Amino acid sequence: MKAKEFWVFAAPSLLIMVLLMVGPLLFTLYLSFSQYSLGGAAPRLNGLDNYATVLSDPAFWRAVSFTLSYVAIAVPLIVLIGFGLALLLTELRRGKRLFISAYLLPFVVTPVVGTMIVAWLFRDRGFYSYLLSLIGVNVQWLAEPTAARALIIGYGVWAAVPFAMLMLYAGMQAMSQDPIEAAIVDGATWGQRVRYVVVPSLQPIFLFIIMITMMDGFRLFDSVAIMTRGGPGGATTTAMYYTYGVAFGDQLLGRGSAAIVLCMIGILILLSPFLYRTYQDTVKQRT
Amino acid sequence: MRVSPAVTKNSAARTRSLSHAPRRNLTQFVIAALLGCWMIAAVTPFIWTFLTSIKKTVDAFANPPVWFFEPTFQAYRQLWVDEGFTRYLMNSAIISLGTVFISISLGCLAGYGLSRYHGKAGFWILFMAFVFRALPRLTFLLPFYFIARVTGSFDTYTLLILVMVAINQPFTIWMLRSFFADIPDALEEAAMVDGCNRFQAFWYVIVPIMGPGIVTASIFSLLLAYNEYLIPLVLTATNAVPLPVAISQFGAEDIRYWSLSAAGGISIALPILLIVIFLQRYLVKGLTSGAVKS
Repeated sequence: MKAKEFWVFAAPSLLIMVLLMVGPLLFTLYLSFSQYSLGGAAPRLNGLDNYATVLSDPAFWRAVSFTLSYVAIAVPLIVLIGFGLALLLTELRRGKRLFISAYLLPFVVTPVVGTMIVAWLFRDRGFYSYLLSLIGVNVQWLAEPTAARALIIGYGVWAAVPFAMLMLYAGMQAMSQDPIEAAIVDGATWGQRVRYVVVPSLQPIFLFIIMITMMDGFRLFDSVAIMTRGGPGGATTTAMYYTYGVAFGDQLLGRGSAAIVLCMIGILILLSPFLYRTYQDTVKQRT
Repeated sequence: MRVSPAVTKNSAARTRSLSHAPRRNLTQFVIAALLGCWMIAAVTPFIWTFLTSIKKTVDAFANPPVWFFEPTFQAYRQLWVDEGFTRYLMNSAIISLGTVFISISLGCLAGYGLSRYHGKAGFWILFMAFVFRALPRLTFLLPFYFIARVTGSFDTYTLLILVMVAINQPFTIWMLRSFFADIPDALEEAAMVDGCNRFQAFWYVIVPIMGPGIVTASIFSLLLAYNEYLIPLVLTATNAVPLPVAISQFGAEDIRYWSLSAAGGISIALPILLIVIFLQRYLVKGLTSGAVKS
């Protein structure tokens, strides 16, 4: 295709992305250097004040550290459980469709609804709280900091495992059968075949899943907003929930913009190895 | 990123296993049992919520739970008739369908262009779209709130649709590009030799065979718009409030409203359940297209 034709095809989409994403992004940058509260006077530049305030706010660092621990715990669990289920599903002879349907539900259901119903189960008088009380576990899931954190992480894992599982399952279906047959001929056990043939050949998929679940982890908001409102005592406040609170709760749009710019920089730094890899893959694919 | 044809076929003939050893029934049973455990974990909350939604309020928060009860659809009636939930459903429908229509139209044009053009610019657009996909929604939402207030477009369908189209555009063009890339160039080249121009070839030759790909991308676009919470939470107040925001303001903590909220949750989840059951093929295809490279 000629360059001229390409630009005609791409123009509408580019236009909307530049106007509604690049534009706002620059505006966020501008606001982050300004003093501006909702309903107050027009934005007024105030240098790095917003950044200084956010960086010296212990609540910001608490939110960042919970977000990072969420990612550090949830992502490995999602990948491991997803891989386990994908292996089992591959070995299953019949009924795959049924399992896939059931697994898809938590992943595609509206997060607000999923979060709400999981929270009910763990509330006082909730069904899971009741079941746990039968075996002598009495935890106030939404009132104790550690339990509330565990609940948020558990929900994230529950909702994202199907994604990891389906990706890996599809990868296993698409794998070339030859190396596996060669391994069988060489006498490799099932475990060895998984370790030395399956895992290496699925490496790009593993990386992709890790990258996507990391992105989703960094922007965790819905479940926190619905289930715990960041509590108890800020224990489950994520970086996004903190920013939302500053910008719309406290109505400090300028300071909120500084918080989001800091988050954005952090996210890009943490994701940079993956972004670089995608960059290389895209280069390879297009040449 | 491409979908390899092998992945999209779901027929039993393509189904593979990692082992060739005779698979014993006991092994199969253990596998099914393990998978079954996760299945129970996956669906129990939904089943329990459904049961709650057809219980009387007094049964809904009974402790220990009541297993035998007289089902009632009172909560649904209260929700849809008395609470006027229909209005939120209408809002959700307008916003989601509007978003799908615009996203997919723009995405098809750009996705096709990107799949056929191999210059530097195309590469950078794709890469930047990917970087944007990594950024949190709030990066773009803060200024929208400001702009919406200033321009008076706060709490309107148009604003919500435009914002959602923009934020989902990177994902949409990546997915559609990978589907267009699976269609050989030879097809539209033949049409162009026969006298079509590029756009006619795209419209009359490529789009018709892209049917399944467009359906897949539409479903994902629909889910993203229908499920979105943060964007309407920030940009709506009363007029354009969609279902997720409405249900979140329903007072889930107050146990007197459990049946009602449960009925709301089930009502919102129902269209998605139908998609999972009837359009699963497309969902799986869309999910796996991102990862399985040829």
